[in-house]
Amino acid sequence: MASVTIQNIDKSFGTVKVLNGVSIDIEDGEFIVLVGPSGCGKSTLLRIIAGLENQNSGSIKIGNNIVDNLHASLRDIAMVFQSYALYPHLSVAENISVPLRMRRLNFLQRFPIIGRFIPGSKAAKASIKKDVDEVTEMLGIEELLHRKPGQLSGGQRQRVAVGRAMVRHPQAFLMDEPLSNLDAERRVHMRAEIAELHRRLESTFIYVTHDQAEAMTMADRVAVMMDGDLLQVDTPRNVYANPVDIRVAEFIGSPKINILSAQSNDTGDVNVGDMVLAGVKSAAKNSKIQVGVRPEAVTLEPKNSAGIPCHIVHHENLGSEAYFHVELNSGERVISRMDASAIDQFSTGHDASVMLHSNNVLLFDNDGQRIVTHNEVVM
Amino acid sequence: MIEKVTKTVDTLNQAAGLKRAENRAKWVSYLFCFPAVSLMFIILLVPIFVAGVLSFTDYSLGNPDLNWLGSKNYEVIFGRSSYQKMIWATVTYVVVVVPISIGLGLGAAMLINSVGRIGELYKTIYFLPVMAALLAMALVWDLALHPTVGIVNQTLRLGCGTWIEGLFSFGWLPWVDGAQSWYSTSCADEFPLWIGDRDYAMPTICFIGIWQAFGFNMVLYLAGLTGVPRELYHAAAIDGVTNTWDQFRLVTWPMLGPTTIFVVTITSINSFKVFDTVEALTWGGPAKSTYVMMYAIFEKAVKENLVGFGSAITIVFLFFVLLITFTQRFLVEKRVHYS
Repeated sequence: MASVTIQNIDKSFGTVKVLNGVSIDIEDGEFIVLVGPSGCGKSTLLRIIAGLENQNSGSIKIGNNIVDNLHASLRDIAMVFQSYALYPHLSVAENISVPLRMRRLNFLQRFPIIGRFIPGSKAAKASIKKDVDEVTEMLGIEELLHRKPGQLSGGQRQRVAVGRAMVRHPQAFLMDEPLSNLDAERRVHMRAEIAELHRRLESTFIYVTHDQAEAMTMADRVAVMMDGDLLQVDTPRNVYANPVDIRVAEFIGSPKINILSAQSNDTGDVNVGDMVLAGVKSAAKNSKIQVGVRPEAVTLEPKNSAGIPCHIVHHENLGSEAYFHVELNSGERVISRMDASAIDQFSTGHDASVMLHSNNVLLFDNDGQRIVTHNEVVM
Repeated sequence: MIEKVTKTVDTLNQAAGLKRAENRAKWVSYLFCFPAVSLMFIILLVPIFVAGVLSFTDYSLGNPDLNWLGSKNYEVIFGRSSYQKMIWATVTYVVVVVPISIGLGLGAAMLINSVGRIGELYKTIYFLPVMAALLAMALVWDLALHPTVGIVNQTLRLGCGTWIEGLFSFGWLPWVDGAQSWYSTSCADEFPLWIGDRDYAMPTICFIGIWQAFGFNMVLYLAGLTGVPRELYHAAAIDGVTNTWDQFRLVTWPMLGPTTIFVVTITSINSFKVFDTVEALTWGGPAKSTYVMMYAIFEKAVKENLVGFGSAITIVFLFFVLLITFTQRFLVEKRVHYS
C-alpha cells in the first residue's frame, strides 16, 4: 500500500505525442479512475506506471521510491489486463501462483523435476499453496482451481486475473479496462465487486476505462484525459457538476450535456437566443460564449409560455424517465430529461417551450475554458 | 365418405412423394461425391493396397509369373544385416536431423524476432537452401566435399600450421592434448574423404539435411511467434519474470506448442523421405552406411526391378510415417491446444 506520484510525464511514439506533461498525486489507498476516449493516452500512462513502457521525461514515484529505472517486476505493483492475459497452458491455481513462484522459488527450485530436490522448495511451495488458497477462497473460485483458462467464462477469467494480481499483496493495483470484455449485465455486477474489493484490501487502485459510468460509480477521484492532456482530477460529483473544461463537461454525463451558443452583454447578462438567463452573470463581458446545460436542468413547458420556443423531434421513454430531443428556432438541438409522466403532455411532433434552469448553467468561453459565473438567487 | 377417402389417399400420395424426393436428394448427393471419392480411391488408396498385396509376392515388372511368398520379404527386411543397416541409417538420420534442425530453426526464429529490420535479411539468407532444389545443391556439395580439390578440405588444409590449427586443436585448454586433436592429426595425416568414408558419410548427409531443413522450420516458428499475444509477455514481466529463460519457459515455449507439433511431424516425415542427397552423393554407401529406406525402395523396385520386395520396404516405410502421424494426432495434440 502506497501513494503513487506521477510528475510531468511526457511520451511520444515517433512524432506522435501521446502524453503532455501529465502530473497526478494519488493518495495511499485511493481508487482513482483514468477516463477518456480511446487514444487519449490513459492506457499508455498506466503502462508507464507499470514499467512496461518508458516515458520520454518525467518521473514516477511509488511510495517513497522513484521507480523510473526499475523493471516492471521490481515495482511491486500488480496489473489486470483487458484480455486478462492468463497463461492458457496453466490451471487456475498455477496461474495465480506464478507471481509467488517467481519470487519465492529460486532459479533451480523452479525446474520441473530437479526443483523438488533443492532444499527449501517444499516449505516455499507449501507457503505458496496457502496464499493461493486464501485468495481463491476470498474470490469464491475454489471449485475452478484445476481448470484451464479456456474452460472458464469471461467473468471467471476476470476473477482469476484479479486473483493473480492480489496474491502477493502489491503496493498498487493497475487495471486496464478489465471489464470491457464482459457483457453488460456482468459488467454492472463486477463494478460493485471491484469497488468492494478495494474497500476490503484498502490498497491503491489505478483503473483505466473509457466508460464514464464505471468511472463515476467506482472512483474516489476521476482523472479525465483527452488528447494526451490531463484535464481535471476531482471527485465524480465535482467532475459532473463543476467541469473546468467544455471537453470534460461533454465527456461526462449521459445523455450528453447541451451546448448552446450565447452572447454576454456589458453587464454580464447572458442571452441565449432571445432569452436572458435570469440571475446568471458572466465574468466575460461583451463576448460570444457557450452555455452548457445538463439535460435534467432543461424542462419543457407548454407552447407559448416563457422560454425558448421549440419543436419536439423525438422522445424516448425509459420507464422511470423520458428524454425529449427538441429543436430550437436557431437549429440547435437540446435534450431534456424529465419524469416519464411528462409524455402525457409532450410528445414527438408537437411544439413546446424550453426552460433552462439558471442555477445549473455552466458557462464556457470560445476556447472551452470555464467562465466564472455569479449565480444570484432568483426567487 | 368418398371425400374423406380421397383426402387420405392424397395425404398418402403426398407423403410418398416427399419420401421419393428425399431419396432422390440422397442419391444425388452421393452422385456429386462420386468423382472425388473415386479419384481418392484410384490414385491414393488402391496403390497402397496393391503395394500391400505385392509385398507378399516376388512380382517384377514384365515378368508374367508371380509367386506368393507369404511373409518371406518381411523376414528378409528384418533378418538380413544390410536391411537392418537400412533401418538403422534411416532412424539415425531422423533422430539427428529432426531435433537439430528444429532447435536451430526455433533459435534463429527467436533471434530474428528480437532484432529489428535486419531480421528480414537473415530470414532471406536462411531460407535460401529451402528454395533451392536439393538435388542441385547435392551436386554442389559433392564438389565442395571432394577429398583433394574440394573447397572444404582445401580450406582446412590452409589452416594447418597456422594459429587456426592452434585454435581448433583446442591445445589451449589445459586438459586437452593439442597434438592428439582431430584437427592436428588430420593435418599430419590427411583430411577425411567425407562422403567416401564410412564414418563420415552419414554425419555429412545429416549436415546437408539440417542445412536444408532448418530455414523452413525457422519460417514456421516465425509464423508461430507472431501468434503469441504481447500481453502475455507483459503479464509475465509484472509477475516477476526478469530473465529470458523464464520468459521462454512460461510464455514462448507453451504458446508455440501447436507450431512445434506441426514442425516435428513435417520434419520427421521429410527426414524419413530423404533420398536426393543419398542418390546424388553416396548411392547408399560406403558399406551401406547411408542406405536409407527411400533409396532402398528406389534401388530394389526401380533399378533391380524387384517390385515385390520394394513394395515390402514401402509398407514398412508407410508404417513408420503413420506411426508419427498418429502419435501427433492422438497423443500430443490434445496437450498443446489449450481451449
